[in-house]
Amino acid sequence: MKLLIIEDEIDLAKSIVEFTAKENHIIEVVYNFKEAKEKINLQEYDCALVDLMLPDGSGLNIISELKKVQPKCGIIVISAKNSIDDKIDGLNLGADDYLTKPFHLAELNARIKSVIRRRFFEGSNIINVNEIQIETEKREVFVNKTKIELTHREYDILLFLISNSDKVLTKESIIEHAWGENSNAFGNLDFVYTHIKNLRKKITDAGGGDYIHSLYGVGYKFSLK
Amino acid sequence: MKLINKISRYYLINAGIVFIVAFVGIYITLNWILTDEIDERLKIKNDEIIKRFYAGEIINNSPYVELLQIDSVFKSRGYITDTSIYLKSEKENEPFHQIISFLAKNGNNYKLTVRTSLIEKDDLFITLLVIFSITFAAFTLILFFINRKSAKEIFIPFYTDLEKLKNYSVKSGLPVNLTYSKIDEFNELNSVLNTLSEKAVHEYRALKEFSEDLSHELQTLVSVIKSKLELLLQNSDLDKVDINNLQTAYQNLSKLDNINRSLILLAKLENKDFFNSDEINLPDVILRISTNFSDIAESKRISIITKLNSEIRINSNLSLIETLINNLLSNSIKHNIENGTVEIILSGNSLLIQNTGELFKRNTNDIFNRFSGFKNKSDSIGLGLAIVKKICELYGFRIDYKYEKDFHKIFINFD
Repeated sequence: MKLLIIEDEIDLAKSIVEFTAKENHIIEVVYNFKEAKEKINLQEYDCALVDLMLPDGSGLNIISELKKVQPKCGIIVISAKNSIDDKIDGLNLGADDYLTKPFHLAELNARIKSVIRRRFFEGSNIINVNEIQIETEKREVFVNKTKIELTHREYDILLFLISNSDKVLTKESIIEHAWGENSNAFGNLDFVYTHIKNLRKKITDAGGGDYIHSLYGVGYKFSLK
Repeated sequence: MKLINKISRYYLINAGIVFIVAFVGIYITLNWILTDEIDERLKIKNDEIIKRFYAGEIINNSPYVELLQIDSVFKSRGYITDTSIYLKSEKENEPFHQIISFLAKNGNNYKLTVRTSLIEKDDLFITLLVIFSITFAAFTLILFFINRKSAKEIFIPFYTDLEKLKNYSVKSGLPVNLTYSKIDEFNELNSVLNTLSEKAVHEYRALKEFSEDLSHELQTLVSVIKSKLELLLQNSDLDKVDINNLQTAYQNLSKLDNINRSLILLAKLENKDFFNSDEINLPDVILRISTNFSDIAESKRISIITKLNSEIRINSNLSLIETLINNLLSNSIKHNIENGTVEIILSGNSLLIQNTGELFKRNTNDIFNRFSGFKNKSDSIGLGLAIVKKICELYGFRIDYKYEKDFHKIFINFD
């Protein structure tokens, strides 16, 4: 997949590139409005990350331009402005998703994948990882072709882990993903452990491998290795 | 004391002194003139009686004219002296002026005393006192009415301006606009206040912009640091100590992020920024959020009981109402005890969220202030309730806190 990152904060753009490096995307980065406009009129992209606050223009204009010249391209808005109105504006213009800075890289990665799945694999939104199969449309999980019953949270956590396989995901990012932004106010984040434990048990009970690893209490990693 | 009353009192005291001095002065002068006049008349009367005496008329009208035959002869000097004589009609001694003359007629010697009463002088005092009292009373009364009228006319613009100043807030972004007055002092005060408010608005704006810029700047920096820490975590060469250090840094950064986000929201609420409004079904929102918190509460062995007996809908911003409920609920879970409960009771127009918990050592009145309490809880950033309060203020909801029978109770009235 071909991604375009439009982000004026160079260090942040670099982080995104580094984090998504193993995903086999072709990534291009531009740091301002002018370059972004040139790029989107020159090449086709599958997904674009658009920062709304660019030094020389508003990301909202880029969204409408993208919608015109590349309607197939998925758009994820990233913004430092924690403004509800911006979010609505962005989504009204046709953005697929919206992320507020500071976000977790894993969250962004999962969102990119989700947008690509929705846009390019309509109808067959199936993720296969060894014996585990996830039908994202129906939110169903199969292990060795047998359906396992997961709670809402367990499903969200599993998909989040698999979307970021081989990456260490902090407890904070998992909670924010599964419980929402405001749930992070709880200092004690150990409740996530119960959910992970149940999830692992359900998979292994169905004959699946134990792929979810804990990392010194800081977070979890889904890895086939 | 009101200015106008102060001035009136000052006037009255001074006027009183002037009246007394004038009274004394006028009394002394009039008394002197009157005495002079009485003495003049006494002399004329005396001369007339002497004339009549020589003409052969015998006049004896005690105590005004007394004629006595005496043995020796004195030289008549004819000057006026004071005396006091008991009057039967008045039953007391009264002051008199008299002239004593020694006369000789047909070889006999006589002593003639002609007197005149000074009672008229007493009348003068009383008359004068009455006139002065009436004048002074009239003066006071007129002053009172003039004051009332001028207080209305002069002070009306002053009081309107005062009211404007009372209601003025620099947050409006406009200088206080005070009315033009015909009185120079008020005008000067108004122009000073106008300038002052302009300055305040300017400073306030600068400060506001500064803190907003700062928060946004921080948000960008936090995102960069956060992303770098997350990347560092991916490094498989890290040992346990490294990871623990990284985790501590990460957790503190998250807290910083939370504080920053909260401050941005607080600034927006304080600026009364425009928030889109929708009709919100409050029970739905409460149910959604309490369900979201259910497993977190469960992990702390806290049960959430919801009694939603109202279909209340409020016209407000969904995100803000979610924040409101979210903050209240997360607080009631955070500041709870093992095996505690959280009760959410919605009835009519009011919401009660109560939870078991220990009494705060701090003054319960400032629980809605920023960073006011709960410092002992490391997971608390101390802004949640401040945000709740600001949201309530924005929409005019009434919020109260009470600690009762081991329960922390927060009431919100959505009227």
